[in-house]
Amino acid sequence: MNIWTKAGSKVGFTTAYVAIMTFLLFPIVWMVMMALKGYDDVIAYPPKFAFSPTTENFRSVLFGDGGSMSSGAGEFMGYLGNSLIVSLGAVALSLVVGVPAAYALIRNRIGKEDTVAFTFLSFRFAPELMVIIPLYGIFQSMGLYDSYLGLILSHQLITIPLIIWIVRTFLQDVPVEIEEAAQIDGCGPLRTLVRIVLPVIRPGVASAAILAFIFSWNNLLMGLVLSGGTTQPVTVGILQAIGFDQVRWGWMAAAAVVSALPGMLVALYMQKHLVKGLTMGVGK
Amino acid sequence: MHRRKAMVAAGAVAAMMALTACGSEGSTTPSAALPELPADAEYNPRAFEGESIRLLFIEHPFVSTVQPLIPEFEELTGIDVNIEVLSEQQGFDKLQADLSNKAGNYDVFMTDPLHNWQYAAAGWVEPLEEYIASDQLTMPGYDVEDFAPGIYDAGRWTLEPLKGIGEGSTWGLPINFESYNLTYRPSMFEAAGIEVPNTYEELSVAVDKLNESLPSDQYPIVTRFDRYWDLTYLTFGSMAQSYGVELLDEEGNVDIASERGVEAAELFLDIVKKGSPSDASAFTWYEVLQGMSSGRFAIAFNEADLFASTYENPDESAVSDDVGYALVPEGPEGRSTGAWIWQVSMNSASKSKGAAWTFMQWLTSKETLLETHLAGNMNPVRLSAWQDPELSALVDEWGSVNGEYREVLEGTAEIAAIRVPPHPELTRALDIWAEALQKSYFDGNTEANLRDAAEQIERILQ
Amino acid sequence: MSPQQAVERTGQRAPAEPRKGFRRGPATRASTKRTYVLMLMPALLLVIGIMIPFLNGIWTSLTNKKSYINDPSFVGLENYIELFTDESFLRALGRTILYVVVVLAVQLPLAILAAILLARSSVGSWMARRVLVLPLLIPPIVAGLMWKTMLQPSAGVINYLLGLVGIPPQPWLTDISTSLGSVILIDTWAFLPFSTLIILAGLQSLPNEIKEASQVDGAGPWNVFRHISLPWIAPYVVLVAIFRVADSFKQFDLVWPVTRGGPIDSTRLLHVMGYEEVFRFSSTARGMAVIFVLWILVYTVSSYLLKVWRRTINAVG
Repeated sequence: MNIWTKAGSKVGFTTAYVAIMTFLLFPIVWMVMMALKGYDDVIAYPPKFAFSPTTENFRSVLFGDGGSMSSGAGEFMGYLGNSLIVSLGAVALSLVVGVPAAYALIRNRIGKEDTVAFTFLSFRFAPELMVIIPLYGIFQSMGLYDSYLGLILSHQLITIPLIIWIVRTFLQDVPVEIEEAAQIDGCGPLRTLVRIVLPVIRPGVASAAILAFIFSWNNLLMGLVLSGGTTQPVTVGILQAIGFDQVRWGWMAAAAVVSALPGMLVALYMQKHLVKGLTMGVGK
Repeated sequence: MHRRKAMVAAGAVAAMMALTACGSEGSTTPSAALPELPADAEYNPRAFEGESIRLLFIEHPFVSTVQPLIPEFEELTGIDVNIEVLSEQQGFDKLQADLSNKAGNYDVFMTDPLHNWQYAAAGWVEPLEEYIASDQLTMPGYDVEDFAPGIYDAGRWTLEPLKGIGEGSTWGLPINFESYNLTYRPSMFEAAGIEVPNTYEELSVAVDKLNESLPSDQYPIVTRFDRYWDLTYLTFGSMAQSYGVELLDEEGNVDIASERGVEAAELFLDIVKKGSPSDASAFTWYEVLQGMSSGRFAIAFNEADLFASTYENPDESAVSDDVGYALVPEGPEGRSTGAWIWQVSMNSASKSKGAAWTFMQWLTSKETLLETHLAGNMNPVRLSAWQDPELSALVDEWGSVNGEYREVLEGTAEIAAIRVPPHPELTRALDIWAEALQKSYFDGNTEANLRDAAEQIERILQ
Repeated sequence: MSPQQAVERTGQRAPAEPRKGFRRGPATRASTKRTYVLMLMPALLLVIGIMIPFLNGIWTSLTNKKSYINDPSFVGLENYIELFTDESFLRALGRTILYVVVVLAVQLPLAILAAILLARSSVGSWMARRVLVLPLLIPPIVAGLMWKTMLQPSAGVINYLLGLVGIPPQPWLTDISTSLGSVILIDTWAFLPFSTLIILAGLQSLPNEIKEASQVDGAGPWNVFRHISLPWIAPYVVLVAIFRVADSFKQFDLVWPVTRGGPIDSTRLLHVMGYEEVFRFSSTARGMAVIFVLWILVYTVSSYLLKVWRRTINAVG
């Protein structure tokens, strides 16, 4: 390849890179700016890029009221805690249940493997609105309403399909020889999974876990309808910024930033596993 | 494998039938289930001591004025109170989930006539008149006559489709109301050399003059215009009513595409087109409030009067010392406005009705309501409220001259009423009318669109 | 040797069927099977828990239930027939399909491009990988509201910035010809990271030996991409497609708070219509019917995509 094509493609790649980065980053930057603005700066026109920042919104989110004019102190952090419990719990449960299920589906024919797997996926197809009202009734009568367990279970609707299918796609890439070697050594399927296969598909499990966590964290409808005062998640909390007559943008932006932090930490932690490429040289 | 699948399916079907059966109990005729009290008992606030109730409130300044008072209530009655506050859309969604499952999770909830027509028709709301009438259950001095009649009556309905507002059972007690006025910027009027318009025609002329004098980033008019029932129920609805046009006329026919109906619609669209920016069709009341407070507009047209509390607050608006209020303009049939009333209602599936009623009457009593008004809950629903000197002093400074807000409000209260037919599917009808208006904004075929809409509405309501 | 042969030599994809001829005694086979079933049971139980409300929903759609009708009667397919003769439903149906098609057409290539950009090791990549996850961390409903205010034609920051470089203000969400496109724009912002992350993970799982082997053979970067990388990441791309199809058919959080289906009905997708029928218009049965049609659409398209997915898996090795 001659030097001009190489340079041309490099310019092309760089432009594409900058364009995508700007597209993704600008709204985030704008939102952070909004979180640091006073109300009159937020609604000012022309939009202000230079302004005197205030920490009022962050203070209000972290220590003060819950954002609406009616909540009490420190409430938002409570919502954050609730979301942490529910989303971490949901992902943990889905991993424990889903990874072995994905493995079992790949390695053994239990009936029609793909139909079963597809059934799991198909629950992601169900619009939440279809199930949420009857689910509310069921939860109320079973005492699962406003409970962490109830929310964790309901979030399985979101997390299990993601985990099973992403892990399954990665499992397809694992050479069978590795497992056969373990099985000759006498490992049963569970041990083979845990000892041999899991380390190899770690990036896949990590991606699946991050994405499942994020989707669970961002979910609104389950948390709105199935939680009450005790377990209200952070998504419902952020929306309290929508007052009856105005949206408190600054507060909402600050709340969104604060609520994004746990996800960022989870993602950063998982990145360690993601970045490590898959080394297929195992056992060769 | 097949057998197992079949069993699972059968089990699921059985469970589902059981659930459906659960959901279909309940009578259509309402009957209150008053708590039993000994025959000679007098009113005792502590009659339901030890019980606990759960409230669902919709995000509103009212809520923040009430919350500090709750501990007093708990002391007084020994009833434990839990409140959940959600913003409007989320709150009503959740309320619907609870009511339709008859789960009884919430004992008392914030609502309004439009929603209550649906809820009461479904049997989800407890009728209150027997509670009010009972000397045992209701405090002396509650004085139900003190409520502004039009406002109180909006909470009564016989459950007959399309008629019977103001008669029959009481479904909710009012806690505040909102009506509509012209909010304007005196300085901009002065610069354009105009007076406050008195009729809709004068308003149109005023918009023209303002267009000439205002700089390019400011506009004469702002009003909500999304294709949502509040347009035709409240803001445009007010204008239509002053042209003698309501959703149904006296014979019960859909009236929106009549000559007067088209006239009002065309004038409205004309004013918005020439006086508002091009994205006006997406404005909700949020954009109205924000736009007016940031100083971009000269007139908030037929918009909510209680936005005044934001406009007058220097921390929240850039126009706090340059805002005035006037009655809605006059149409050929006089002046008229709609009203949005917030109420509290009792869940018919509540398991603590006595405690719930104790709370509701406390909440809507003279003393409690007055305290909330003083803290910012607008507008008062009891006639006695304005007698309080502190309250009148509070709003005295609002407006371009002293006492302007109060004067306009009193004038508005005389012409405000809910002039729509009660029906559980009214929301859909009002939406259709609003959509026709929005369509006409884009394609200009006002009459044809309104006729189409009228036909659709006929089919729904008849 | 051809790239195909290189793959076969150094690392195969695990075949979908278990290896035949692999000797295991009958007892071991049975206990293995039992273990597998046990591993699967918890997942199945959870699945059943969702079935009941779902079936309830289907049942409701076959009745005349409105929220204020307390003993609904069975009406069979009447609701469905009514829907398919209702112009506003058919428009919503067409609109939703269009939405999904455009979302896929825009987001899949973009995600592949972004994944390639990020897979190249460089400082920029390192930063990008961390930045990528940020839009995902904003709940869709908040993202929608933020974009709504940024895209405000007369008062928003986007038009303001466009104005600075001489581009006239765009109506974005407020005009019927641009509103759906604007929603797709917001959707892309919110979900491009999701798609990119999955495809990126797939790209990174491609064993280096394979790439190196073919490059040693003198294959240029474009050929390497076309014959090695692309088939390798194909299953991941299809997986992303399956998820995106499901999510965009069901799109609600990005539409309702932002446009409420407007202006007029230009962004009224099926899920929005279903929500309105159930929650605003009290027509529970009709709403359930709309939502069930939606579900069938998603199911059908995803079944087809599943076949594609299997083909892409078997295509390599």
